[in-house]
Amino acid sequence: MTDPFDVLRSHVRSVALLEHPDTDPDDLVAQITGVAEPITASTRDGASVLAFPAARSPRSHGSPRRRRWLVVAGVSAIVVAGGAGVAAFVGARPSTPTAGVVCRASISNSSAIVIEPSADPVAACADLWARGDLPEIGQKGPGEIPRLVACVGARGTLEVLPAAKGQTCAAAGMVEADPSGSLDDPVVALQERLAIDINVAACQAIEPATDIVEAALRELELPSWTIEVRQPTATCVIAVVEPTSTRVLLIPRSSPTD
Amino acid sequence: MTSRRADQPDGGAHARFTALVREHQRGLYAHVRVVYPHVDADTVVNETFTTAWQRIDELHFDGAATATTWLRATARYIVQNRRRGERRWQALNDKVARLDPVAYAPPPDHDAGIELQMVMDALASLSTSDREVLLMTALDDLSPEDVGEILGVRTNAAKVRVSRARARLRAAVAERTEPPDQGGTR
Repeated sequence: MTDPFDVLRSHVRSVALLEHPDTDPDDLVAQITGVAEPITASTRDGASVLAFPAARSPRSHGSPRRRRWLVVAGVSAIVVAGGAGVAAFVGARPSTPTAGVVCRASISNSSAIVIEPSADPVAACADLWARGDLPEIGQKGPGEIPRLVACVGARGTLEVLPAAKGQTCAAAGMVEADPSGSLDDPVVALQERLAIDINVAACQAIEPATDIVEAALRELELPSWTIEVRQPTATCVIAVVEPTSTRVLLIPRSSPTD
Repeated sequence: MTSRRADQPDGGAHARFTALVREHQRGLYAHVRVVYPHVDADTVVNETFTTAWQRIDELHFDGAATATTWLRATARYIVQNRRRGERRWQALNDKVARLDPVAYAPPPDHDAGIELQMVMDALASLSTSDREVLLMTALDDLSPEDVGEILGVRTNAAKVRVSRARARLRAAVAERTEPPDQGGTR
């Protein structure tokens, strides 16, 4: 008889020839580079806990605690944090709009806690460090508060991260935020509103999403802003605010039935 | 006014990422479909490339650290995370791990079909880790170094794991081909 491994090899290679991904490579690039963000969240003590995708080398498996939080990334659910107004979309796919302040455990991509929008995000995140919720999520007890900097992350999310002396947001690939004026900023207000009205919905279709964006731009007096629909045939979309080009992008995302 | 700008890698990084996706998406998808048939391959591939995009400035593939092994190792990590979160994973995995030899590429003749069925039955009887290593080495010509990188173990350990898995596959097939023991000798 033929070596069983040769039989297996012949079979799986013929299987592989028939396998094609659903997504065209260029569409996949557009999806990822348009919305690349942390992937998931859960709740604990009234806060939304968000785990960033594994930032690791193949040999680096992270600590057990870190891995435990990354496990959460596989769970799909919509989580609304305790208190008013903060919601984080939780999904297995990497399209995660967040409407709160992201308190990061480290300057690199890492576990983080999403809290409600705050007039003083640095102080709000410092509280989590003082309570011992950071840097090890889930580990209670008094902790030291490192030097924290407020940065603007992808899609305008406000992220507060620990930084060594002399380190700036640029070390994390971000720019400095101006926390003092953030809540009064119409762009922040636009982002918060679209995140809550569009992005946390299980599936928001293009037409109602466009209506919501138009109304928000009108009410926030942003008349020069434009709306761009990336894929007119998309079933579900999320809104991405692009302040640099004064555009709101409606980007396809998977529907709940996908 | 708050200063804000998306923290995206620069244009050169975008071009490198696009080239990475174009070159490896299909192969990675096939790898995930074959080696981890219980997961949604599109989702795992998407998450793998998302991780690559977020680290694109750090990723420089040369020497042993090839894009192929990095992507497979990252996909494996993502699959493992999903697996831990799925209570019914084991049952589901057992159910689908046979790779359905009928649904794909029908064998050219009856004997070959019987042989393949026997091999697939034997494969399904092995442990998850044996199946994983057998399927990934059957699909791609991976060196022991590559297997070690993907599994996160040393090269020697990878060699041993591959060798033992193949031996167990041969033994499992042999069990199915040898006549049953008649119950002792005279």
